[in-house]
Amino acid sequence: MSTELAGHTVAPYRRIVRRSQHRSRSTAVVAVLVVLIGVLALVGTESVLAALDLAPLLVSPADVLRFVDNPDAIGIAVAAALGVLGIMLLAVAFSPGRRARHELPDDRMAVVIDDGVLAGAMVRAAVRESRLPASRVTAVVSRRQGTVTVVPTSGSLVDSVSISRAVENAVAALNPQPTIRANVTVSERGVVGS
Amino acid sequence: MTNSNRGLNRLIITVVALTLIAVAAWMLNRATGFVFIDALGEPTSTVLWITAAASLVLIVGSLSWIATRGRGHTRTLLAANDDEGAGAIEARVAADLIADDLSRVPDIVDVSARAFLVRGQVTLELSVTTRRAADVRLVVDSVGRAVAALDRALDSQLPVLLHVASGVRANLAREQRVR
Repeated sequence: MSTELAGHTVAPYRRIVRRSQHRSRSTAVVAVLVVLIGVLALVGTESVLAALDLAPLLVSPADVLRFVDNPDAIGIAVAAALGVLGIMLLAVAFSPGRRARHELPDDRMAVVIDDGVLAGAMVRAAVRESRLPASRVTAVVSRRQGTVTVVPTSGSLVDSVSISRAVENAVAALNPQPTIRANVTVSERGVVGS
Repeated sequence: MTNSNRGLNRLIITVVALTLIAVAAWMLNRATGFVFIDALGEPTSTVLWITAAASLVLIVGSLSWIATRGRGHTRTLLAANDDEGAGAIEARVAADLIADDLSRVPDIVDVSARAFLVRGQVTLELSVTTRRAADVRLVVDSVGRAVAALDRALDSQLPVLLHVASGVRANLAREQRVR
């Protein structure tokens, strides 16, 4: 979505929206690097001490290499742990890192909205239509669908069709991208009183 | 909306991950003798010095990478220079103008504004925190009007990113449940 603004095209909008919908992984990188710095500081210090034939602080490089070359039961456990950690980090690096947000089309601004706010808008529409107390209506929004759950008052009927229509209209008015399919479920069991 | 290089962030994590997996594979292979590889043996003095130097280089690189995360903010929203002098408008001014305009919208709890440089272009990021079950259309339209007023005040149209947030915990959970 590149938008014409005051005669000059503002290209960054596409990029701005994309970047605000995904995590930067800076936190993960900083955590990984802090641990790495600690390990490297030890490795470097021990290497210098060993090169100068001085006593090691914790463990000498030769002992580490012996441990890596001929792993005992503990060594195998350590290797397995390192492997699992590596696979987890690979998952962090290659997962899409998507945030729970949707984009709303707008002429002037790039608009990004948390899924919780979208759920709130659906609750609002359902509450207005059903005239139930707000505490009886909940909504969950994921990337492609939003589900509203309505708990009716015992003994009184709830018009699920009209609530569905109201919720769908509310979603259509916002037109979140990617599009959301709205579902309304009315709980089988009602609640006594308000 | 920092200017962190996200591709490089991924690359760094990948390299560290592959190194860990390689060490694990080496140790497991030595333990099981699946493929015969010579042992690493005793480190020579040269190897030790190279290891120490490489560690130092990687430590310095890591520290500088950590120190440069989260950059890209700018305080100046707009700068104008002409024959009569130079002037600059700070991002806080825009934040105050917008917040003032939105103070009467009931569903809006908090407004904050930050300016970022995106590809050399100053971009205003507005974060609006809303009440539970807010009227989103009203919130977005109110901000749109406030931004239009800002456009008139500044006599220019900055790119604006509006982020409508549901609160602090909203960013942590994958799915949001509203009661």
